[in-house]
Amino acid sequence: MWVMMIILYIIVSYIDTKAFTRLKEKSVLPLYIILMVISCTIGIANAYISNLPSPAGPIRNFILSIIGS
Amino acid sequence: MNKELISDQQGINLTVLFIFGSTLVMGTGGQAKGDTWIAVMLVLFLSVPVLMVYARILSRYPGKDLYDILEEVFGKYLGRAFSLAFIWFSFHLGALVLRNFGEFMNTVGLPETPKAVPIIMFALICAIGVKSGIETLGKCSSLFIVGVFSLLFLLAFLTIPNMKSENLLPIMYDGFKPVLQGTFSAFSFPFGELVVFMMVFDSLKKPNSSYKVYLKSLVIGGLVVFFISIRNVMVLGADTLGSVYFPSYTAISRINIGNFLQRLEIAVSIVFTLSGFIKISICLMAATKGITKLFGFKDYRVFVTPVGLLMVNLAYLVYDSIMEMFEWAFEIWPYYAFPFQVILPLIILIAVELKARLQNKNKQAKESNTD
Repeated sequence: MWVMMIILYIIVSYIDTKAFTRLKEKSVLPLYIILMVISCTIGIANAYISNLPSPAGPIRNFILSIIGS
Repeated sequence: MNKELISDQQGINLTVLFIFGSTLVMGTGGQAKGDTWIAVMLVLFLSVPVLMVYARILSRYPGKDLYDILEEVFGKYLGRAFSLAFIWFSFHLGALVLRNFGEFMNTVGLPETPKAVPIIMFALICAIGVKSGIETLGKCSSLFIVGVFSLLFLLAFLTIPNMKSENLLPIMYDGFKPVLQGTFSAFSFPFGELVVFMMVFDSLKKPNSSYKVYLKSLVIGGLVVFFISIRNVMVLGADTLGSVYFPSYTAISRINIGNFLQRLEIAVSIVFTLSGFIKISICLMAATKGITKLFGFKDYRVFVTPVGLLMVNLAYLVYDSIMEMFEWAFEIWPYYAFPFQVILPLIILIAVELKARLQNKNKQAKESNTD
């Protein structure tokens, strides 16, 4: 599954950069790739780890401790 | 790159649809139960000063969005730290609305389909919308608003036989505290969320029209939310209202005119899809613009797909269940969103005004020196 996900991300990135976005600034590519890699990693982790920590949990606990309920 | 511009009317349409977003389906001010309509009425008045703060900040720097203003007022580093907070807020809000859509589809229409499917599909459409630009979104909103209002009026008319005015009574049975809690909740969702438009309203054709756009949208959107709340209470009653996930959907499903006109709840899904598209697109655009400016690039369109995909991931992992989603939306969100919606804009306004006064003083001092 993770191989499929990586291939999908590569296809999406390729189509996006070639067909939909006329890349005038080549310097954007590193950031683009970093964001895509982060997204793909979270996606794969999401599929394999059932209780992946979400930011909602800690925020919720913090707020509940502040408002005291 | 030519700057994209939208008219005031398109700005109002976008803002009204943003207010509708998931509010019309999920409801707002749930803590007030049968007195939701009072909470919404109160919040209409309480939102005015906050929206004036947003408009004042924007009108001080015509043609600039919040990220530019922050960098100009607070300098490069502190300005970017503030920008980061607003990027996170827009990104998180977009992911939450995306999840709302996924849960709604999963609950009412596609229970066997994995949640990820509607979320990915919807995010893809929103990404295409954002890539097309704010002008396209503005034109879309002009079209959508006609459909949304037609459906809302039609549904309001058809639910009249199911409305029972006695469901509004007793008023404030549990006292004023739940109403206040509902007001706080209704402010943060959806009226305070209009802070996101500070990152988009640099595109208004008339630079100083943000006051007009914010106020008109608040009146139009707020009144519709008020009427929807009162309709839901009158159709469902306080007890049922508190026990269903999507009150508007349940209220509309009760329409039955002569065993012929029924099963009209699809109309609620259409309204949610159209307004949700605008809300997620605006959030995605705000977050992408912020990231682009944070790293010093010009064209935000390049980053729409990766940021949209990250939003999909966050939307997917942010809650474990629909119960957690509603607990977050009504119990946690008001406190979590308050700093982004009120405290940070107030700090920014104070800084903007102080800077303007300092500049005026310096200008006057220079003029007196040259005289």
